[in-house]
Order: sequence, then structure tokens, then C-alpha cells
Amino acid sequence: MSNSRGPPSRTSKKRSRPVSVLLRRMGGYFRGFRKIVIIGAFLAIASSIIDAISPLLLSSGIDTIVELIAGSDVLSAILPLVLLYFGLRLASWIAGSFYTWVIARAQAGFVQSVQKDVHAHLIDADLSYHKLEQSGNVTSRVTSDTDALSIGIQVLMDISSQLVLLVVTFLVLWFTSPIVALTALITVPVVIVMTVLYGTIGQRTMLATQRAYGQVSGQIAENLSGIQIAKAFNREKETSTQLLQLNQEAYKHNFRLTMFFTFLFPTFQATAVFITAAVLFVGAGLAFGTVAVISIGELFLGVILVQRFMFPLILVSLNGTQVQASLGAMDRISDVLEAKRALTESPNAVVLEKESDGIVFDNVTFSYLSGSEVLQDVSFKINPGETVAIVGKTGAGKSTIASLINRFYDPQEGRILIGDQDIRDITLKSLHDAVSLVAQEPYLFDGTVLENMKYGAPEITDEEVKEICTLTLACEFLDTLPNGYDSLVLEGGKNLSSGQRQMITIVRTLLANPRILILDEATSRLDAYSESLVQYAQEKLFATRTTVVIAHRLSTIANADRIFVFDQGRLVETGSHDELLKINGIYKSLYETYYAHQGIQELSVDTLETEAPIDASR
Amino acid sequence: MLAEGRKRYTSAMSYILGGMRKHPFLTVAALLLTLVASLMTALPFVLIGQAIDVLSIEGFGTGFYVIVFAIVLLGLAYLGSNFTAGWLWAAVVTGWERDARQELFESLQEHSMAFHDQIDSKKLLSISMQDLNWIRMSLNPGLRMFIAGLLSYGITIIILWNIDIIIGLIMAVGLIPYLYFSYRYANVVEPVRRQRAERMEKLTASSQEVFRGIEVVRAFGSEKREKDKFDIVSGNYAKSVEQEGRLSAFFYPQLIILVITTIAFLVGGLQLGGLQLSQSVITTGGLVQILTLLLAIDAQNFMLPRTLLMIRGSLVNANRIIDLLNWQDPLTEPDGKPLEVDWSGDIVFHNVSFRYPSENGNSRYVLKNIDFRIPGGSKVALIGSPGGGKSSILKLLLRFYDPTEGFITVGGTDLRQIRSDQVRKAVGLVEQDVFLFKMSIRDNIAYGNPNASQEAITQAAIKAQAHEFIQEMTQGYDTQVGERGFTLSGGQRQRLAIARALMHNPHILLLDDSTSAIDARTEYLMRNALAEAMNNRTSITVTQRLRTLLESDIVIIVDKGMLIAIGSHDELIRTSSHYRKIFERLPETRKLLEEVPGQEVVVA
Repeated sequence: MSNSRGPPSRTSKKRSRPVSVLLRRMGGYFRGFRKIVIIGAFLAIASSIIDAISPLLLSSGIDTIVELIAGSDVLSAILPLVLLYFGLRLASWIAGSFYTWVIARAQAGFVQSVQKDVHAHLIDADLSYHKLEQSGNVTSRVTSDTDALSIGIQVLMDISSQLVLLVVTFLVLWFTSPIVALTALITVPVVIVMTVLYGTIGQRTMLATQRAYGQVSGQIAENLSGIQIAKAFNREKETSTQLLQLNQEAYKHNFRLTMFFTFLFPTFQATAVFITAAVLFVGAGLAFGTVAVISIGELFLGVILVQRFMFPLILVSLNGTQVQASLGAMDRISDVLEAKRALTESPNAVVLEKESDGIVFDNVTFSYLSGSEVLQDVSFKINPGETVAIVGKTGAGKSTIASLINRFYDPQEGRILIGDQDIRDITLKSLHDAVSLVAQEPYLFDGTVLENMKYGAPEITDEEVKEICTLTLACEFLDTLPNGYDSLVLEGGKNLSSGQRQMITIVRTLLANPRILILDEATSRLDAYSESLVQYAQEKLFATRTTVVIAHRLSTIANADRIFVFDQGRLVETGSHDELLKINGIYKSLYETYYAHQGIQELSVDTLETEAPIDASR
Repeated sequence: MLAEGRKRYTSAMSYILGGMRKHPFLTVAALLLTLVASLMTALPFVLIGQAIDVLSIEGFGTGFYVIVFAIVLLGLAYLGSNFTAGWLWAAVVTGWERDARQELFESLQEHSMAFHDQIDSKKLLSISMQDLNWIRMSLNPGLRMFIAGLLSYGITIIILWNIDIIIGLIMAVGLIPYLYFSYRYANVVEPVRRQRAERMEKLTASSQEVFRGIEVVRAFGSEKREKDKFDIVSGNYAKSVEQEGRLSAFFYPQLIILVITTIAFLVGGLQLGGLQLSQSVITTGGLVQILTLLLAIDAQNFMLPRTLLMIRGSLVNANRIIDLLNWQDPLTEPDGKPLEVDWSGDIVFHNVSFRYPSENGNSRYVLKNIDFRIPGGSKVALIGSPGGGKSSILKLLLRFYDPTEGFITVGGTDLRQIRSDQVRKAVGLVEQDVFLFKMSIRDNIAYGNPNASQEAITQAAIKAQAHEFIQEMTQGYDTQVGERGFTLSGGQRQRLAIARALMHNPHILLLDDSTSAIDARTEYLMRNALAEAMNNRTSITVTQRLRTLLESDIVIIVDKGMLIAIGSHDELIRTSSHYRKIFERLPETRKLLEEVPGQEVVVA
């Protein structure tokens, strides 16, 4: 009876699959629960039928007494009826309760298997999918969509048992008196009108309310994440006023919605009263007219049943929306389940050999969107144990190289080898065990700092972590965290500085102990001193390992064995720092624009014109 | 600031009923109308019974017509009274929800950073939205239905009592176990239901986190591990779903109603059949009344457990909210008038130690015995390793926190003597991870002074070297920040933050400047922006820019919460090995070290 149930129905997006396909798929998830579902259905139907016929006993009880010949034993006349009534109601209660009890298991199992399936598909989905969708949307496939689905399933089951109740009730009415039964049908147009109102005005009001609440929620969320700035700029009053407006708006919509329901349900209730009056009138004409067609007991039965008739009708028609919503959810879930992965592990993939090391790019061409190549015909060889720095302007394709080595994507042309094994023929697990990437954006999971550090190597003991930390000095910053290693990471690390976050991701990779290390601007948020610590750790642990560094700092380039210079997706120059400077080509201009100023030289207005190489004499 | 006079709540019940206490007349009217509506639901059944008696005596005639007409009228009266009652309930309760949400948000906003640094904002959001929503629903429709149900029950007792005292008595006696068992039932089911909701929250949080970090999951090849982890979370959730279904399946209080109905059927039948059990005489119509009324109560019965569950659950929600509202802030504002403070005076840290407030109270010190003096108007560079205490120093200067030990003075006044809003008016911040709001660029720049003129905003943007790129955008200053497909680079964000701080025009400017990896052009613009920002005020800059160190009057090095060195560049390069280390890394800056006489250059 409220707006908070179920997800907003997405009217904008049409369902793409026929209902039969969706229902079959839902049914598929009940496999394994078939017995339970059948028993449940049986119990539900039994309960409905008993509910529909039990008033018969009351009515025949009335008739029995009314027609009783004076002086005969009233107790023995009605006691069997009373006991039978009690027995039937008890049976209905037990059947109904058992239905809920039994079906709970199927429902739980259903939700779990859908969730598991969707989650697994999403974990394995192409990265390009995750890049396109917002994480909140992806999550709702697992959470609110499966929830809507399970509500829909429950509603479907409820509807079926209500339909049984409806039909049996009508039959009982019909056999009592066809005229009374037909009178009961007056409810149908009323219910139809109300259902239409519910489907139009009701849904619209509900959506508007949800939207208004969404805005309040969005505003609160933003204000809470920006709380430090709001405080720093003394903006509390304005934020409150802003929220007050949205809050007032949400109140207006919610009030309207509440009033809609306050109108809808009592109208049903009042209709039930009117229809009772009608049945009473018609029934009385039949019972007390010139020829008594029905008995008083039957008149009573008509009055009782006509109300029984109405409520299943309402439930069935109003719940249509809910079924629609869950079909929509199933459709969205099907999108996920049916999505073809562009990148899969080959069926005869082998484990990456222990000896395979070094990276080869063999005529690699790659684009995220066809038509705009990010890498064009790139070939290079990085020897085992070598440290290579990759430099280039923004958009030169540097990070793409890191992604390709990790096989987040496959190149359209060419191949990538580790040792002499094509990474497309290697199991992803063994590839990722051997190759480790420290990405540009430090991403941490909720949990303790220690748990985050151990993410890439869960089997490592806490002592080992601390040992490596002490050895490399890379964890010095932990000394000042409130609880050291056990400090909690909140919301991806809002309670840490970005330098601290980055240090944790670096330690995480060091602990994973990869053969090949890829650092994508991994130290961009560190100060010079911490960076030197990282370099020290790296030298101590990884001096002999193959390392690819996407560089943003002069100091990193300076320490590389070789430098690869990329320009517009092509590898244009290779060599050491000094060699490349001598060539006087793109590297030199890059150096002048991007790296030289990281030192202490003064910059002049001339820099504004830099794009072309600057005169080396300056 | 609205801190004064915010009331403290003592119990969940008084919190929940706050709205009703605020509108006593509306509430009483709503209750009265609910009573009327309940009467209107019961009376038609009484009339049906009467109709049958009238029919038996008079036959199908005027008397009967009148009764049928009366039933129709009662239906209309029900509609009217119930609608009005619903309107009153909605006005009181929905209004309360709005006010309660506003109050909660304002209170959260006033809580100092000690609060916000410890609590996940997702949790705060879900409490302000969901928990409040639940409480509202527990009042309307929950409490409303509960009261209506009780009233119907009471009215039925009275009516039945008049028909037959025995049946009335049975019903009255039955009420006690009925309510008792209903309450017990709610008590058993509610915690399971709550657990289910909590597990759903957990499931949402953990899967969202994994999808957001999917690249990390991939890179470490931990897909299998994440799937296994999820299976546990999802399995727990499924267990809750099942448990809730099973526990709620057998709503046994319903059996009491069933027994009452059966007994009434028997007793009424016997009386009607001529077996005198009590003084009252039951007619056929009387028996019909009894049975229809009891069946109506039975039908209403299915609402009762739900409403009781809601009400019981809302008490837990209310307690969660009260805990937030009543949070004891360690930062207290001084009383009295704003002080005259010489903001351009010296900033002095008097032996300051600081640790973040934490629940267990034994967090580590992030600053230890920091003692320094910054002359007014200086350009200060603050450097040190991450977690070394740099941002804590800035936070103390903004009075987000008070020092745990020692104190800070500006122009001789202790910061604790100055109200925090006064401090923040005088101290401006350009933060590390620039936070921009989802509003236009203009509004973001004018964030500190919403009434600023376009002229002033443009001036600030020009000084911050942001005007140029803003103008290049198709919508210029009206461009909305944070909309899909529109992103600002780190350098642009930072310059907007500088513009925002310039608009604020503080006496003391704190800059947490940690961007790197920008090209020379942006670097040049940035340096100009910073120079402009530092003009004519005391500034403290957390920086990695070596050039900034050279141009500062004072360089402060902190590490692991301790003051390592303070002095000018020229002094430190001679005296501090820590400072020299920074310059050792780069070939070019090594030259700088070589120029310093009498020092060995250690090549890394």
C-alpha cells in the first residue's frame, strides 16, 4: 500500500522478449523445487476451495434452525454443522499456513539461484560492459531486479490461488441462486474502473513520488559526501534550505499518493457495502417474494459471498502491475544472461609456463570503438627482467597497453605473447597470477587495510605482510592510521588520503608477488619522498622482474632500462633517456613539455605556446 | 547554524509520536473520525440482520426498503468519514516525515567532522531515507489500521454484548489472548524480517563494491573468490527469506478468532433454536448479525500482524535515528559574541598533539607535540609523507577538530575561543580531492557567497586561470558539473576550487595541492593561479611542486606526526637531510644540491 515497494517501473524501455520466454526462464529457476511448488499449489488451492465453501455450513446452520420443528433437539441438529465448520476452517488455516511455510523454501532458493547466476555473469562480463554501465545500475540487476522477480513470483502464486477462490465462490453463488450471482457481477465494472485509475493516475503519482524522493535522497547523498566543503565554506544554512524545498516537494507528492490510496481502498470497501445492499435487496425479493426461491440461510450466504467475491477480484487486477514489473525485471536479467562475451577463455587454454617471461607485442592493432584505433600496428619486445617506461601524451594509448597485457580486451589484429605463449591461449587465472597491474585510480574495498593489502594474495599470513612491509618501509604511513593495519577503509577510502590509498594498492601488488609488474602512473599521488620509498621497495623486491612503467614523472623514466615513446597509437621511438634526447625527436619535445618542469626551473609565458619542441638552449 | 536548542529525544516512542504531539487537535479529530469510520463498517451488518427480521415480520415492503437505503447511506458515510480521517492522518504523519527528515539532516550536518570521518555516509543516507520511511508507514497506514482494527473489535464486542451477553463476553475475553499472541508473533517475526533487510543491504553493498572495482578483481584473477564470497552473502540472504516465510506462516492468533466464531455460531444457533442459555432472545436476524460481524473481524484479522510488525519494527528504526540525533559532539562552540580576531597575525601551534576521536578511544596520535610559529602573511609549504600529518594540520586550522593536547592560536587568540563558522569565514580551503557539486560552474565558484555578482565570479575565475577554459565550454558558466559525458580534468577541477576559494577571500588560505602529471602549459597556469591565490594573505600549501618550495618563505616538514624541520629553503637545504633527499631524485635538482657548499651529494 505504499510507494516503497518494488523498483520504479521503467516505462521508457519496452520489453524485448515475449512473455512466454520470460515465464519459461522463471520456471527454469524453480527446477529442483518442483515438488515443493506442486505441494504448495495443492495446499493453496485446497485452502482457497475450503474458504469458498465453508460459509455454506453457516447458511445451512441458519436454515436448519429456522426450519426446526419446535421441541426437537436443537443441539444435535446443529452441533455436527458447527463442528464441521470448525474443522473446515481449521483445515483451511493449516493448508494456507503450510503453503506459506513450504513455498518459503522455493522462494528463497529461487532468489538465490537467480542472484548467483546474474552475479556470476556480471563478474565475468566484458570490461567494456562495466565501463558503459554505472555500477549502481549493474548492482540493481542483482538486487532490486531479483527482488522484483521474487515478489512477482509470489504475486503470481497468490493470483492463482485467488483465481481459484474467485471461481469457486462464483460457482457456489451460482448454485445458490443464479440471479444473486449475476448481481454480484456488478462489482466487475467498478473494479475495472478502479484498476484503470490505479494503472494511470496511481502509477503516475507513484512514479512522481519516487522521483521526488529520489531527488531528496540524491541531495542528501551529495551533501553528505561534500560535507567537508559545506563546512569549510559555512554553507550549512543554504544546504538546509535547498533540502527543505526538495523535501517539501516530496511531501506534496507523497501526500497526493497517500490520498490516492485513501480514496482507492475505501472506495472498494464502500462498493462492497453497496453491493451487499444490492444483493440483500435482490435476495430478499427471491426469499420473501410471492414464491420463496431461496432460503434465509441462502440470502445470508449471498451477502457473505458477494464480499468474498470482490476482494480476490481486486487483488488479481491490481497485482497485474506487479507482474508487469517483474516481467520487466526478468527481461533485464535476461539481457545480462544472454549477453555474448567478446572475450572468453579458450576451451583448450593452458596454464602459463613458469619459465614464460618477457612481453612481446606482435603487430597489435586495437580500438575500443571500431574506426578509431587506439593502437596501430604496435610491435615491441620487453626482455625478461627488463624495466621499460612508456611515455606519450594523454591519449597516446599508454593505459591501453596495460589493459591489453592483462587481457582486459583482445586486440583486433596481431598477438601478444608472454614468453612464447600467446595470452589468448592461456588460462586467465594463470595470466593474472603472473601479471599484476597497479592502476591509475587507487581502488580499495571495504574492510581493513590489512585485508586490502592481502587481496591479491589471500593465503599470505599477517606476519608475512608485516615482514615485507618492514623490509621495504612501504608501510610506514600505517603508523599514523588510527588502528594501524586494522584501520577500516570507509567508502573506498574517504578516511585516507589519496597518497595512502595509492600506497595500499602498491603494497597489495607487491604482496601478490607477480612475475610481471605493470605500473600505470601508480605513484601519481605520492610525494617525492614516498615515491622514493616505493622505488626502494620495488628495487628490493622486483629488481630482476619484468616491469612496465607508464610514467608521469621524470624520476621514473630516469630509472628505466629503456623508454618506449608512443604517439597517436604508434610506437615511435625507443632507447634510453640519453639516447632519446640525442635523437632530438618526439621524446625530446615530450620531455620539455611534460617532464622538465617537474624540477625547479621557472616557467615563462612561452610555455603557453608549447606543443612544438622548445629550443633546447633555453 | 542551528545547533542551539536542538532537543534531545529520550525514547523511541516519543520520537515516533512527535508529529502527533505537535498537532494534538488534528490527531484527536483523526482518531474520532477513525472511530466513526469503524462504526460505519460495522453498522451495515447490524442493519442486514434487522432487515432479515423486518422481512420475516413485515415481508418485502417499506420497512425493508428503508433499511436497504440506510445501508447505502452508511456506505456513503463510511466513504466520507474514512476519506477525511485519511486526510487528517496523512497531513499529520506525512508532514512529520518531512520535518523529521529535515531535522535529521540538519543535525547530521551540524555534527563535526569527528562524526563524518567515522561513519559511512551510505548508512546515514539509508537511515535518513529508508528508516524514516518505515516509521512513517508504521504510523500511516500501520498505526491507523491497528487502531481501526481495535476499534472495530471493540464496537463488535458492544454490539454482540447487546445481542447476547455470552457471545459478547467470549469476545471480550478472547481479545486478551488475541492481542497477547499477536504481539508475541510480531516479536518473533520482526527480528528475522530486520535481519533479512540488513542482509539485503549487505548484499547490495558488497556487489556494488565488486562491480565498481571489477578491474582490480580481474587484475588479481579473483573472480572465483568473489563469486564464492557472494554465494555466502546470497546464501545468508536466502536463509533469511526462508526463515521469515516459515516463521510468519503460522499466524496462530487467528485461531482464537476462529474459536470465537465457532462458539458464537453454536451459542447463537442454540439460542435461536429455543435453548435458553441467557436472558437475551436471539432472532434469525440476530444470528445473521453475529455471524456477519464475526466474519468481518476475521477478514480484518490478516491486517493485524502486519501492522503490529510495522509498529514494532519502527521502534528499532527510531532508536537508530535517535542515536544519530543525540550524538555527543566533542567539538563545542564557545558562548557569547563573535570575538575580534587578528587573522593576519601569527599562526602558532603550541605543542599540539592530536588523534582522531574514535569509538574505542584508543586511536593513535597523528600529530605529536607539534610546535611552530608562522609569521602572518608568510607563504608556507608543508611537505611530508602520506599520513605524516599534513592534512591533519589543515583540518585543525579549519577547526574541523580541536587538538587533543596543546592549542593553536591565530593573532594570539585560541582557536577554541572562536566559533567554528567564524573560523571558516576567515580560513579558506582548496582541498586535495576537489569536490564539486552537481550545479553550474557559476554556482560552484560562488559556493561560499551565493549572492556574488557575475562580475566578481568572472574576476575570481580569471585570477584562478579558469576563465579561459570555462568560456570554451558551450554553456560557459552555466555548464552543469557532474552530468553524463561531461568531465573536468584534474587541473581544471583544481583551478575551479581555487576560484571558489578566491571568492571566499579568506585571511588564511590552505591549499592541499597534490596534482602532478600535468603538462607545462597547465603547470604554468597553475603556478600563476596559486601565486594569485597566495597574494596578500597567509597561505599554507601542501605540495609536491619543487618550485613551490623554492618560492616559499617557510618550508615545514612533518613525518609520522612529528615536526621534522622548519625554515626557509636556503636554510633547510643546508641543514636538513630529509629536505635534501627530495632533491636527490632528479638529475636536474641534484645540481642544486651541488651548489650548496660543504655537502656530499648522495646519489640514489
